[in-house]
Amino acid sequence: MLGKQWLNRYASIDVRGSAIERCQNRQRKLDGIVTWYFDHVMESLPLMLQFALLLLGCTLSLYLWGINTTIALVVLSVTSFGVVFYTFIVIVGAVHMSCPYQTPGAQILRYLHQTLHPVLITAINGSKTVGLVTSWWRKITAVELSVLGTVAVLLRTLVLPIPLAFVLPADAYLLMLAIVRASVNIPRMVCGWFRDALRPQTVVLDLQCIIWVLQTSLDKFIQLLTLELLTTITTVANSDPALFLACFDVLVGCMSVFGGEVVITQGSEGVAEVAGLYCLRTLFRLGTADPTLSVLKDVRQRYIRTFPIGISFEALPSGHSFGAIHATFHSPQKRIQWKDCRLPSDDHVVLAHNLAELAHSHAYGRAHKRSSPKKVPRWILRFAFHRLSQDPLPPTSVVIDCLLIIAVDLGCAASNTTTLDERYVNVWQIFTILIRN
Amino acid sequence: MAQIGGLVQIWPRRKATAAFFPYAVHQERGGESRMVDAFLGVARASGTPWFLWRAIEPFIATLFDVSSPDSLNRVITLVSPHVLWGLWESDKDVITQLEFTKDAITRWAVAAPAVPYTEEVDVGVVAALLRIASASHLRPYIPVGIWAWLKKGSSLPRTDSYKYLLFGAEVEVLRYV
Repeated sequence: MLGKQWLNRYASIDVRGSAIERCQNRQRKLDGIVTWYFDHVMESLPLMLQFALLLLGCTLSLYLWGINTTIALVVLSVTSFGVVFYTFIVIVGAVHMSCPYQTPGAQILRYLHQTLHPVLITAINGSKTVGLVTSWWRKITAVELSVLGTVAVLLRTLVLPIPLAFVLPADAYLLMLAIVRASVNIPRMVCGWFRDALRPQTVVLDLQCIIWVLQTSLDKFIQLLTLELLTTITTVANSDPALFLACFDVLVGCMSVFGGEVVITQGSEGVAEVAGLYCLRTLFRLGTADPTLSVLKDVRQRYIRTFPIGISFEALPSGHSFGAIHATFHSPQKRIQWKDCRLPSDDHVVLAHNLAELAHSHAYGRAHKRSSPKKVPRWILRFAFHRLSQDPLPPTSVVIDCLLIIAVDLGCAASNTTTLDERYVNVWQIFTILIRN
Repeated sequence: MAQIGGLVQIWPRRKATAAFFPYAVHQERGGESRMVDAFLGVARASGTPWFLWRAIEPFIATLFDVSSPDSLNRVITLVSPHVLWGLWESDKDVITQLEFTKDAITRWAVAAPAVPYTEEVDVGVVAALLRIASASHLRPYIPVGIWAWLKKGSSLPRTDSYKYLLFGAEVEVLRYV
């Protein structure tokens, strides 16, 4: 009943006004659903019922055991079957995303795998004893067979590292550290929910609306209007990986390959042209910011599967944009690199400055009273790393912005000053303090 | 407890610290060594051999390239105990990886004797030597002369802050030595 109440509230139209205001209100509600983990809460309601049923089965078996063992055994076997079946679907659901029997337990297992696995793998890679055992295990489970393979993959990736982590104190320590860090984040996250609730952020909200429309709408006219609206947003936020992914999906949705020829669906020419241009532009910026970004890797794999190497785009309008994307994704380099079409040096300067601003606003913008700033997104930090790794170093302004990004991530309250000299003095003071400490 | 407190504070910041490392190396090449020292101080204070962020592996690879300049000898020597020997460049195939590691060991063996001798350098070389030797397939590539460092000065760390560097000091390695 609670769930129905909440859903009714979500579906109600409680704001009148222009289309923009209604869209913003709808987006605010949708953001709230994501921020407050609405789907998880809704899924936890039947979970409580299932847990109650399990408790009932256990207590009934216990009660009947003293009265009649045969009937108790029947109840116990039904309960056990239910438990085994539930455990099985949780495991299968966690390993196979396509499995239709998804449960909250499967999501939790997958989440644990994603958060703990990298830390454990780092521990395992550094440890020789554990390394030997895992290499032996990898050999055994190299062939992934249906159910056996599923169980083996799960054991290998999730269950095995935990007992192995206790083999060496150092590994155990890293495991404990990961768990402590995850637990420490929970109260901070809860405080953040209350603090950030319904704080208007027009540009970010607009961008989220645009991403949502591109992700959900199949109407080409709406897609075209939305993509054209993007050109009016001039902040660096339009280099968001999620936006690139949404534009790429629109682009792929407009095109198909028949007999080695690329064909644009009738009526989608305009959308394909704008989406292609925007994809190239965002790809250009993201590839410069972080050539190792996982979104780029995933998109590349999808692109290669959809558009084989031999096809030509010359006959299409804006064929040069598609050709540039095609050449980038089919280049033999594993990572995106811009050898032939580097960003102009002044564009580098603007990009670096915008990313420094984005890092600063991300860390401090929405948390005036927060004791510690939020972490800078990894892809921005990688941008700083890639630029500082260049030999010779990029222009001074870019170096300063990169150092500012690092300083923000280190938790130093770097003020977001505009002039080059001010920023230079500011960042130099920060690093002097860091070196001293 | 002090060590745990250090790691808890440093671990969330290791990526930012690692991103700062290329700039510190650039400064070192220009004669300013304080930034590298600051980086190494943080790495040491973390007390873990897995301090380096994996994203900076390509940069570490260029550092240990045979063609890297002599001005980087000190950095190569001091950062070598923190490197995951034989595990970098993980996106490459095994043979390329091994060839690269072999060249990196050669570069390290050239750099170590060229740096003025201090206790920090001594500990760094011995720790890196033991780390490399702990991978049995890498042992044949260690130049014979570098083993002499085990007999030099106060090779084994006496303070707690250096202890974790002896991560490779396993029974098997010591028996081999």
